[in-house]
Amino acid sequence: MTPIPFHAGDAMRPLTPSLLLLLTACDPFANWPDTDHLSTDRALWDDDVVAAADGMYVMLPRAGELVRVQDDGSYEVVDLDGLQPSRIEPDPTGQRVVVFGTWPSCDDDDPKIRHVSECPYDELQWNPELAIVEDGKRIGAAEMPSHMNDIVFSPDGRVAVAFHNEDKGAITETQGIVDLTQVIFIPLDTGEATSVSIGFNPSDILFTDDGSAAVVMSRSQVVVVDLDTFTKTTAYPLTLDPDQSVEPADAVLTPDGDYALVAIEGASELYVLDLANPSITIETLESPPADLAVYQDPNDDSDPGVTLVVYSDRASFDMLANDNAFNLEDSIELDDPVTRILEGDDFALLYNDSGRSLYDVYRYDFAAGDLVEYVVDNPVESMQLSESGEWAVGVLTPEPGAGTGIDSYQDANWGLAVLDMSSDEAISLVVEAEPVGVELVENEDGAFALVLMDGVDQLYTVNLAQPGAATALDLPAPPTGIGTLPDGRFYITHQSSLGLISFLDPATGDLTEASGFATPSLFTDDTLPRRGEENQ
Amino acid sequence: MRNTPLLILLPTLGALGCADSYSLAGEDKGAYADTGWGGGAAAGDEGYDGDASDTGYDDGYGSEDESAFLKLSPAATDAYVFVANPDRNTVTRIAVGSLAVDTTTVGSDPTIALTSPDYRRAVTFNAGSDDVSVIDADTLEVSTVEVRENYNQMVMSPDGAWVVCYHDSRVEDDGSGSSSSTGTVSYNEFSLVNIETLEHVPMVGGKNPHGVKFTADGSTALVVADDYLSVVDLTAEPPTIERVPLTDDLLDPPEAEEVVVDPDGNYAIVRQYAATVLRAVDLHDFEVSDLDVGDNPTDLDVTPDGRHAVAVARGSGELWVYDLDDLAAEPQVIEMPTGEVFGSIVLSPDDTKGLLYSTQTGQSRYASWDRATDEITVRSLVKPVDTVAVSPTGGTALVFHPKDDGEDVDPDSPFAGSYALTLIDLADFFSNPLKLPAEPIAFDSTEDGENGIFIMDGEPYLVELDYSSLLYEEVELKSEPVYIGVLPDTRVAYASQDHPLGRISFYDIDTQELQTITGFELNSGIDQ
Repeated sequence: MTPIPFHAGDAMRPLTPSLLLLLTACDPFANWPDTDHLSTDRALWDDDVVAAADGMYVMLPRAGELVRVQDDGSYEVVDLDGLQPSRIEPDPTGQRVVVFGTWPSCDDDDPKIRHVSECPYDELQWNPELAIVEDGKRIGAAEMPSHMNDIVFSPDGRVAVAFHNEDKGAITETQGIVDLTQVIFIPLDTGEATSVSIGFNPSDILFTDDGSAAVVMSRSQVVVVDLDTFTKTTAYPLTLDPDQSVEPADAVLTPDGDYALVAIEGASELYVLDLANPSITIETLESPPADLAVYQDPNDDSDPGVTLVVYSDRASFDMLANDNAFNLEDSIELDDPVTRILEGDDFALLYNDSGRSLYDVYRYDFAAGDLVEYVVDNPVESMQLSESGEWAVGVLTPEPGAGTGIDSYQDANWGLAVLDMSSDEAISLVVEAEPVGVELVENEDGAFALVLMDGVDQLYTVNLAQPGAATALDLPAPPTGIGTLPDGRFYITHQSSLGLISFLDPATGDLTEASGFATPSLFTDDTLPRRGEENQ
Repeated sequence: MRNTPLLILLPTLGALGCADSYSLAGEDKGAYADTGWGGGAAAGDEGYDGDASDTGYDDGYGSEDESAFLKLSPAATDAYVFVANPDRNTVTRIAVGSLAVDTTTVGSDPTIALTSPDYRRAVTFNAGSDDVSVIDADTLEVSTVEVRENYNQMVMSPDGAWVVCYHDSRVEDDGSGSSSSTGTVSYNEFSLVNIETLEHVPMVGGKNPHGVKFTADGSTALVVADDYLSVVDLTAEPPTIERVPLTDDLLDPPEAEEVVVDPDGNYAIVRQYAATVLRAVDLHDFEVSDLDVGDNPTDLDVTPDGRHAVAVARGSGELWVYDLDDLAAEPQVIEMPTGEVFGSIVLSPDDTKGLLYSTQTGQSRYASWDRATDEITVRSLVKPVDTVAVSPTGGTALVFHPKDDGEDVDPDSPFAGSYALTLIDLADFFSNPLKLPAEPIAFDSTEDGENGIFIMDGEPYLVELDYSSLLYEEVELKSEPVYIGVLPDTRVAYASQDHPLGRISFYDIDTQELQTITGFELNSGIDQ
């Protein structure tokens, strides 16, 4: 339990209309703390915020609320009709936010029961729901099975698909009957959800570029779903032996959407699913692939392109021709294995993020067929490309004891690698602490990396052309994360009990703040929502 | 039968226009999953010192082994290759040009698959469900015709109108299919199926049917058993049967091993083991007459031009040549070199040469027979003979050797204790013997006679043979091959391989490019 000093002044600054509204909408004194200290075992706000076109959306776990925060510091509570959010996701357009959560209901219809605390324990239900929020308003909602914990969107943002993602957490509670083959399709315009039984443990969902179909990977099966009718059009088996389980590990679609390439966990087989004329073939690779990516000539829409395959145990990468044969077009030898592919417009950046002491990063130019090798000083944790593709910046992990002398200093610390895509130059910087956020920005002044570090109250701006010339901007509090806004600005979340988000305009360097938006968490309201709708 | 997971359907010609001679045991079965070495000819009484009786003579070596796989014709469709998978009860069609794959479900345990000579249909015999699946080659639509139980063989008439299913007792029963049933069983029945009308006509023939032959025009089917030759008129509506007794020995009839039909469909000639005559059956009046043939004829072939039948009388060391246009004429008898024992013959496609050998004597030798001069020249080999084949144009002979050595094999020979293959240039009989790491299980040649291919048991590659240079090349495959062939009118070889989800490779002999398709069996599970 974290004691949070409570002072009336704190609550009043900034006291927004929403807070007044909150006070007037309920008994303002029912939940008013009666001491000068408030202890809680739940955070007042979740710094895993979502940036939408109309503002920042922030979950308030203790209050079970969602607030929308503006860069001018104002904020308002979003009425979710009692839904207590557990997860929020923006749609691809940035216009809507999808909210996972639950709302309480009491099966005891005694009219005297008006609050959660009054409901007998065995009569209290928590109903999973997905709400669609636009412009600060709940515009739709759909019942959701309790085990759904992840969501993806069609490229046009028209349809959201909810499913249970094992990587996002185990199922901790079973309510009623749980169907682990279930995937929920939700058109965001209507919120009318359609449940489709896909296959056991759906693990990945791809969408055709035209948004007409979803390709859903599950155990031993891949299913294509029409996104207009939400019906299964084709189911592809990955095995014919019911006793055998085949788990998809990764998948990509060819640019024309005619083929899905599915890698299998722990196997060298790459399943090629013909989506246009349903059939299956299997390409046998040299090893289980670590990553797949599809490259298409950006200047030729008719180019079928190639599929790149990298392996964690082989110092090479393969290119498969994306024609109907998927023949091995080329196999390029490397000095070290790579496990990740970053796609540029006309090149691919390959690196190893397995944590092994491997330092090579490769850039493969598709047009020229050239391979450029970069060497960084520490293992790579992550890598990103600037929008122009001219720069790559990677976070390097420490590896204590790996070197001696000055090398040991570098090895013992986190680092930042700056790679010039127009040459073979790579510079490895040492940073003060673990980067908690890196964003790249390019403007008329050049290309820069905005770096936040754990526990460091400063935002560092690294000039990628001159990495040694970094500038620091003081932050109001230690940062916890950074992200981009739809308008090109950046937001930074901070360690702050009552909520603090900074907004950075990279063009001007101006930094504004919004704070105190977690104040509504100080006031909890356990009124049972939607009373009378429990059995509907 | 070798139980292999994949079965290639060979679109056979079935067009045995010139009356071909086939061992009833090693008959052209089309594509069998178990085309193993040694077509399963009934073994004779090995070690027997020869036994002359009133009706025959057994020289004691046993029946010659005429391996089935060497008889397999190249695939006869230029559009599709059909792969039947008994484990999945499916047939997969692969388009030759595009390699597009489609799969359809047939009956249970399809063990034999054939295609009609007009390429319009594929037919499978489904041992597990006792039925025949007739598949439209273009649409893959399947029609099923139930047949009688307990069959294990199927052949197709030359015109592709009929298939005949029967039980061949010399085929090993692997326990699958209805042949292992415990109910009422008949081993003498056979079923006719018209693949156009899907009509089924069951019949009863003689004891232990060993094979089925057709006249060249497909009007008549001949079902040969030990005691009877059943002559079936396929033009009658419904088909009629005439059972012709082949022997007077009602208690222990000699085993009928081979039958040939003359090109005009007038006669069927039956060779029986340990006999001294051939039984000639007039297919019009069903009269049976005897043809003298020396002692213990062990092979009977028809010359490529269809004009003569050649019998090898192993017991008396003679070749007997009959004029099929006039069976009453005195046959030509050619003495083989004294002391030599040959029991089998292979004739070159141009009918200029014959190769004589024996699979039973263990002798590392063969003989060439010059058809023009009748000169027989004995030549040595590195090992005994398992089987002999000739390339389609007759330029090269292939002699496959067993692993076992004969008494005349030097223990220090590099070929001792190994399988081997000898390539022989039939122009001058120059040879190149090859030591093999395993037993060859399938073989085929390009139609132009320039190349051959074969695969070996447990070896994950195919071997390409150049008939001109007598050289070989190994082509690595992703898994062990189980069947091989050459696509018709192409120089592309295909090899089906052992893979739970199906795998087939296509090898272009000219470009040496190998393309492999894996997983096509999954197509049977696609749900649309």
